[in-house]
Amino acid sequence: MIDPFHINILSILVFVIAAMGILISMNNLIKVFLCIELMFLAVSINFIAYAYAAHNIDGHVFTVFLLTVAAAESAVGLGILVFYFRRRSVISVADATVLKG
Amino acid sequence: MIMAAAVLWIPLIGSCVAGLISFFNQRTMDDVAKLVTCMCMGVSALVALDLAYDVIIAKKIVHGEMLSWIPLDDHHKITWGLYVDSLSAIMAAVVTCVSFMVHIYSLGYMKGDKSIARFMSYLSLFTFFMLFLVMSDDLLQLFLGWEGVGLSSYLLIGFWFHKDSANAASMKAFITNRIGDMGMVLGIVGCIAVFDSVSIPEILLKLTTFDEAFFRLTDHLTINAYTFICISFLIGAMAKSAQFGLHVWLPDAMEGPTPVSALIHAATMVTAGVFLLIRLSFLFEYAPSVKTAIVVIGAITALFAAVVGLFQKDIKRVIAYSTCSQLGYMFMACGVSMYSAALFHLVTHAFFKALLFLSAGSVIHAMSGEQNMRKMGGLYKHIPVTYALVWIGSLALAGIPLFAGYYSKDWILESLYGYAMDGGSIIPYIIGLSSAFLTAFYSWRLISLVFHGDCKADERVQSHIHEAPMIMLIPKVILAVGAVFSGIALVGFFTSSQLISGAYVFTEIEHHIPGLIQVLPIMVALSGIALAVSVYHTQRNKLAIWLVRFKRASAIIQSGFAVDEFYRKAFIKPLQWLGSFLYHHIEKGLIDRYGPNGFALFISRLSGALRYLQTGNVRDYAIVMIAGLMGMLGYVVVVIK
Amino acid sequence: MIELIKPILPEMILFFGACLVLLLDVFQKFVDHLMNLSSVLLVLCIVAIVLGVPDGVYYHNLCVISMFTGLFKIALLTLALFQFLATSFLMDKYALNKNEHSVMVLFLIVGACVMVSANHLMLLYVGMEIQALAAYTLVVMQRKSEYSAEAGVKYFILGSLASVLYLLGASYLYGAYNTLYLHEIITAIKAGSTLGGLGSILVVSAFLFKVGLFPFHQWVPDVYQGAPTPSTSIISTLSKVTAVAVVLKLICGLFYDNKSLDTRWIFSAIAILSMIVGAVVPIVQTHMKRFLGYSSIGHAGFMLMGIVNIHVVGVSSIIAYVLIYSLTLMMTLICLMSLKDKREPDEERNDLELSKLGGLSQVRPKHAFMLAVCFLSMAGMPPLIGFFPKLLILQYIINQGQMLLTVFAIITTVISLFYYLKIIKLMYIDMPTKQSIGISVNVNMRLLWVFIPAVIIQLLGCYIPILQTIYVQYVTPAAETLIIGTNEKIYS
Repeated sequence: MIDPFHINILSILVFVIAAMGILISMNNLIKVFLCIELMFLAVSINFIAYAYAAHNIDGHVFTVFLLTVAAAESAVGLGILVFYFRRRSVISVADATVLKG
Repeated sequence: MIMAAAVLWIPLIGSCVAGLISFFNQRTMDDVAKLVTCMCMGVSALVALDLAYDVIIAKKIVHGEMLSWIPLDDHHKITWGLYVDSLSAIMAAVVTCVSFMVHIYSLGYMKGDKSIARFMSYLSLFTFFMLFLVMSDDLLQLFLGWEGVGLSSYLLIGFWFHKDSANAASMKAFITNRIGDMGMVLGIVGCIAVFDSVSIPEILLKLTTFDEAFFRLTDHLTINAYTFICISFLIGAMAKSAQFGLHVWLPDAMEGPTPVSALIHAATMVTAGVFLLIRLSFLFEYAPSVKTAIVVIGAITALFAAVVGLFQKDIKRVIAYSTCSQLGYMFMACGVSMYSAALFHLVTHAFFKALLFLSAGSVIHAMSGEQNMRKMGGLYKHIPVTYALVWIGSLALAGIPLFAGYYSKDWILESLYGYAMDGGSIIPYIIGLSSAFLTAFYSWRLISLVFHGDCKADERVQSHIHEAPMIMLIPKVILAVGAVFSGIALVGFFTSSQLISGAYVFTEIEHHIPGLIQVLPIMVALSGIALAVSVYHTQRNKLAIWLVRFKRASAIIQSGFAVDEFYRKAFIKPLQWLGSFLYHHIEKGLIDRYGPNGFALFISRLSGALRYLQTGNVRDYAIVMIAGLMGMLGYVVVVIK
Repeated sequence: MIELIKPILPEMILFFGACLVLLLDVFQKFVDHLMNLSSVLLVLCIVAIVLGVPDGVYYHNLCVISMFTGLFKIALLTLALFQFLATSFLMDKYALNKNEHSVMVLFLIVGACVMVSANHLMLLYVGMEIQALAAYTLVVMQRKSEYSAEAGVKYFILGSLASVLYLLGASYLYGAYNTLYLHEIITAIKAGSTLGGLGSILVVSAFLFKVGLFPFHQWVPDVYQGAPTPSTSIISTLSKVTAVAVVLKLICGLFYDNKSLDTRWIFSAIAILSMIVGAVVPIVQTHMKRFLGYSSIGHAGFMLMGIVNIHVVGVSSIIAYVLIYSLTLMMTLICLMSLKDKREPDEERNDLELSKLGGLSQVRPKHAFMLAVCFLSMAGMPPLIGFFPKLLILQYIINQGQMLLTVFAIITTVISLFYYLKIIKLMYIDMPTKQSIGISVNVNMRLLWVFIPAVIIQLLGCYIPILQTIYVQYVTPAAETLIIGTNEKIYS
C-alpha cells in the first residue's frame, strides 16, 4: 500500500534534486528554469497524493491552478531570459555579478 | 501698559529691520536701517520720558501680563509681564535717552563701515534687552534680559571680529559674566525654594510674612536663606557691574567700537548690576552681612579702579576704570541702604560718562584711530568743541558744584559719613574721599595729556586732526546739557520722594552734617585738579623721572594690579593643564579609543566585511536562503510538541 | 449581479481597467492620457472600497473584507496614486513605456489586493503570483540596461524559489489538516504536528522573502539598484506593504496562542540579524538605491520586532510603521527620480552615486530639503512622523520585557542615524561638484503637488492629536480584526 508518506519522500527527493540543479547549473538559465519547473511538479505530486488520501478535491484544483501559474511564470521567465541574452549575449548567470557589495 | 509695551518693543522692531537688512546683505538699504533704528529709538525714548513722567507724578505702578510663559498650575504660573514703577521708569528713560544719543552718534562714527546695519541692529537689540531687564516683573524674565544683555555685549565687543583682540575681549566678557549668571541662577533657585515664586511683587508680599528661612546643608550646618540668596545675586551683580574680582572684562571691552563702550558704560550693561541691587533691595535689607560685603566690595572697587586709572595710557581705558570706580560708589551707596543715592548717581553718571566716552570717540576719530594718550597733546586748538565738552564731563565726574556729579557723589559721601556716625566704619568714607581725589586727578591728567602740551603724533596724523562732524557733536551737546543740569534739576526730586516703591522702607536719619564735611568733597576734588594741573603742566619731567624709579610697580598698577595675570596663573593655566590631561589621556586615550571611536571603527570594519557576503552571485543568495530556511525548519522539528 | 461582484469590485475595477489601458495603448490618440486614466481608476477603486460591502467573509469563506484589508488596500492605492501623480512626466527620462508601466502597476495592485483579502492558500498563491510576475516585469522594463537585466534574472530566480517554498509549505499544511482554508488551518494548527509546523514556517518564509528579511534579504539591494527607479519605488513600497500585511495575517493566524510551536526565538533572531545588516552594511554603500535597499532591510527587521510576541498593540504598531515608512521611502525615491538627468539608461547604475548628492542644497534647495526631511523621518527624528511608529514599537517591546531586542534596536537605530545624517551632510555641507546631479535638470513644478502634501504629512508629527486619532480609530481596530478574526466569530 502506498500512502502519502511515500509520495512525500518522492516529492522531497525530486525537490532536492531540482534545488541542487538550480545551484549547480547557474551557467545556463534554461536549466535553472527547468529545475524550477521540476520543483513545481514535485509540489504537485505532493498535493495530489494528499488530496487522494484525504478524498478531498481541493488539492487537485490547486494542482491545476499551480500548473497554469507555472506556465505563466515560465513565460515571464523566458521573456526575461531573452532580454538578458540580448544584453549580455550569454545565458549564464554564474558570473552575473555587476550588482554586488 | 501700552506705553510701557511700546517703550519695550519698538527698539526690537528697529533691531529686526536692521538685522534683516544686514542678513540679506543689502548695502543699498543701509540708510533705511540707520533711519529705522534711530527713529525707533527716538520714539521709544520720547515715550519712555512720557511714561517716566506719568509713573513718577501719578505715583502709580504699571503692571500687566503680556503672555503666559510657563503655566505650571493655578498657583504657579510664570508670565511675560511688564512691571514699571518709578525705578523702572527712570531706568527706562535713562537707557533709551542715552541709547538714542549713542545711535545718532554712531551714524557719524561708524560712517563707511560696511556692516553698519548689523551694528545698528545690535545696538537696538542691546537696548531692547536692557529694557526687558528693567521692566520685567519676575526674576526669570529679568534673567532672560540679563542674558540678552550679555549676548548683545558679546556681539558688540566682538563687532570687529576680524581683530583677534576683539574676539578675545568679547569671549572674556562673556565668560566672566557666566560666573555672575551662575550666581543669578542660584539666587533665582533660592527664591523659588524659599518663596515658591519668582514674581518680584509676590516675593515682596511674602517676605513680610516670613520671619527667617534656612537652607539645611547638612545636619549641623545651616545657612540663612536670605543671606544665601543675596550672596548669589550679589555675585551676579558684581559680574555685570564689574566689581573688583570680576571687573577684568570691562577694560578689555574697550576693543569694541567707542559708541558701544559708551552704551555699555553709561546705560545698558554695567548698570544692570546696580539695578538688580536696587530692585531687590527689600531682600538685601534682610541680609545685613551681605550689605556689609557690598560696602567692602564697592570701596575696594572704587579705590582700586581709581588707582589703576591713574596709570593708564589708553584714553578709553582711563574712562573705563573711571566707570569701574563710579560703580564702586553706587555699590557703597547700596550697601548703606541709600538706594536713591545710588540711583541718582547712576542717572547723572549715565550722562557724563556717555559724554566722556563719545568725546573720547571724537578724539580718537580726530587722531585717526590713535588711542594712546602719550601720543596726543595740544588738541584744544584743533577740536575746541570736544575740548569744552570733555571739560564739562570731567567737571561733572569730579563732582564740582553745579555740575551733575556733584550732587549725587556728595550725597553718597554724606551717607557714607552718616554710616560711619551710625556706628559703622569710617573707612568707606575715607576711601570715597580719596577716590574722589584720584578721580579728579586722573580726569585732569587726561585733559592735560590729550589737549595741552605739544602734539606728539606724527605729521601725517597731525595734518588730519579735525573736529567731528555735526551729527557726532549734537548728541554730545545734548548729553552735556544733561551732565550739567541733571544734577541740579533732579536733586530735589531724588532726595524728597520715597522713590523706590516696593523697596525696603528705610527711614532717613537726619544727621547733623558738619560744615567741614559738606565742603570736604569739593576741596578734595579741587585739590586733585590742582595737583594734576601742576604736575602735568609745570613739573612734568620731574614726575616722569621720579616715576621711572618705580617702573616695576607702575607697570603692575598699569596692568590693573596684575589681576589678569593672577587669574591666568591661578585658574586658567591649571585648568588648561587639567583639560589637556583629560583630553589626551582620558578622553582620547581611554573613552574615545575604546568607547565611541572604537565602536565606530568596529562597525565600519564589520560593514566592510559584511558587504563581501553580498557576492552578487545568485547561487550564493540561493544557498543563504536555503541554509537559513533549513536552520528554521531544523529548529521547528526540534522544539515542536 | 452587482451584488455578486460587490465584494471584489475594487479588484475588478483594477483588473478590467488595466486591460482597458493595455488595449487603448495601441491607439495613438489616447497614449498621452492613459496615465491619468490609471489615476482615475485608482481613485474609483478607493471609492469602491470605502463604499463597499460590510465587513465579513464572502464567496464561501474565500475572501475576507475587514478593517484590516480596507486599510491596507487604501494604503496601497494611495501610494500608487502618489507615484502616478509624481512620475507621469518623469517616465520619458527613463526610456520606459509609461503606459506599460502603469498597466503593470495596476496588475501588481490587483495581486496585492487579492493577497490581502485572501482566506485560502490557493487564492493567496494566485495573488502572490500575479503580484510577483508584475514585479518581475517592472524590474526588466528598462530594455537597454544591463543592470536591469541582471536584477530581473536574480529577482526571478529567487522569487520563483520563494514561491516554490510557499507551495511546499502549503502542501504540507494541506497534508496535515486536509484543508486549504486559512481559518480552518488556524483552528487546527493549535493541536500541533510536525508536518503542520514545517508547512507554516515554509509558508511564512516565502513572505519573509518578499519583505526582505535576514536570510532572504540578499535580493533586495541588487534589485533596488538594478531596477529603473520608478519600478524600485513600486517594488520597495507596494510589494513590501502587501508582504507585511500577509506576514501579519499569517503569523497572527498560525502562531498566535500556539502552544505547540514557540517561534519567538526564530523571529527574534531574524529581526536582530536583519537590523544588524540594515544598520551596518549601508555605511560603506556608495549607490543611493542600494543604500536604501539595505536600510529597508533594517526597517523590516525593526518592524518584525513588533510581532515576536503577538499582541494587538504590536500589530497596530507594525501597521503604522509600514505605512509611514513606505510613504517616506516613496517620497525619497520620487525626489531622486525628479533629479534624473537625461542620460543613457545604461548609466542608470551610476546615475545615483551618493557622492553626486554633494551640495544639493545649493543646486536644488527644495529637493535637498525634501530628501533631508525624508531621511530624518526614516531615522526617527522626533518632530517628523517617522518617529512615532519607532516609538510605538520600542515601547511595545519594552513593555513586553524583550530587553535583548530593545538593546539591539536602539544600537542599530543609532548607527542608522549616522548614515542618514551622512547624506544630509553631503547635501548641506559639502560643495557641489561637476558630477553633482540636479544641475542640468529642468524640474517640473507639478512636483510641488506631491512635495507639499508629503512635507505636511511628515510634519504631522508636530501635531500629535491627529496621529492619535488616526491610530486609535483606524489602525488599532484593523489590528484587532486580525487577532480576533483568527477565531471563529465571523466565519459562518
